[in-house]
Amino acid sequence: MKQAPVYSKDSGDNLVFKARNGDVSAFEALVVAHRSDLYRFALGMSGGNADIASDALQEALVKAFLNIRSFRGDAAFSTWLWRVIRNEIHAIYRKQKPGRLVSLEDTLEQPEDAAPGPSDQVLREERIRSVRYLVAKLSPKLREIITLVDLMEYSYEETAEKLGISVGTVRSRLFRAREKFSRLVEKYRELF
Amino acid sequence: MKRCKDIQSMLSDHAAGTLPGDGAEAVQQHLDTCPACREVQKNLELLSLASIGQEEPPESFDRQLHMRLAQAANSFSPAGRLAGQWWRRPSLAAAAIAVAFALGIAIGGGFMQMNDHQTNIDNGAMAHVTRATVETGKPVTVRLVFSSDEDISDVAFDIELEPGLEFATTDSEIAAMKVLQWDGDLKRGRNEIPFAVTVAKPGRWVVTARAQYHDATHEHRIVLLSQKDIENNVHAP
Repeated sequence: MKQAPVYSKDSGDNLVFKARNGDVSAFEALVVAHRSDLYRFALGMSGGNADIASDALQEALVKAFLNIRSFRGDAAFSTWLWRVIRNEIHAIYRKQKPGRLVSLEDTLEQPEDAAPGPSDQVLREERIRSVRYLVAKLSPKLREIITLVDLMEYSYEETAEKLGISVGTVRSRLFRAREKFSRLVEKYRELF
Repeated sequence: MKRCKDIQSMLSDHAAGTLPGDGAEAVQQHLDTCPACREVQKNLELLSLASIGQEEPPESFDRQLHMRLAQAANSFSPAGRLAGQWWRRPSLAAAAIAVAFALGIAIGGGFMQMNDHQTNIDNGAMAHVTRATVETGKPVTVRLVFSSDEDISDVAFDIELEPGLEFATTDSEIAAMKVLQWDGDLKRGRNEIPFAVTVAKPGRWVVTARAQYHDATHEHRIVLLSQKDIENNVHAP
């Protein structure tokens, strides 16, 4: 069955063509190279809650699959995928208030499977959870910039490309995000 | 003298030891005198502690994703979505002229003249041909009417427009297409598939609609003659 000629087999990107025709395996093959990074983004945005991040990313990828016809081939597939997933993650997390992504009680309690170990390891893990909790309290725009630059260690240029903004905007937004984070650290000093 | 914003943008590289000599010196000199930036530096160390650069999705992720994608694919196909979207959208013009064929139904309207006949097409099957006169630039609703003796599925439909025609829809992606194809079902009895087209350029233009089920192909051609050409005495062939 032929497909309407917006994106055809002749383009050379057979996987995209197949995915546009509802081929799940083709879509999965397109996504596999990016899924770890996308998961880390969802994780950073969720305040480190792996269950929420996993569920949100799956939901976002299904949406991307259902809307793959909006990919017109005029940019790299990875660029399109990042923009779609980012928008979906924002939409999903907007339905949750920042503090509820990770509750403070979750932050202070040890996981059930935590083995008794050296106290500095336990303290380190507590600090990590506290940092992620505070990052989750930032507004979505500031949260994503800290996630990409400080938690995922993307360069300013890579971050700019993923967000579709200028490097200058990355710098100024990051400056504001770190300022805000500093104030939160001061406010929640007892966590550290 | 660098501003705090400039210094803070260099703190990550400073911590990693990747700043050139004079840059590192400038940052250190600033930090020695700026408590605010020292505070940011401490907080950056906290953030780097919480790095997620090595985190991987849980083991169950791929399996769960596959199940959700498969479910989504079963209930929906991209081509079907376009067709479905279309059918749910009313035609644009309230005064659309409906042209029905396959059953040879003529629906009259103020601007329309119509006749219907059968002709042979290349593969030996029969094609119904309907002619109608329409106004350039005004959307026209076309209803494909198929009759079936029983419920059948996996019918391949396609609608092809000649260059002077456009699909009349607010969906810009569909509006740019000249061919729309999808798989669908037919119920026993009468099935109507409406869509709207606009004659974008004066002239004689053909809409070809096909339904293929196994080896059987049913084709309808709708010849649309724009009103301007009628006024200019252009004869429909």
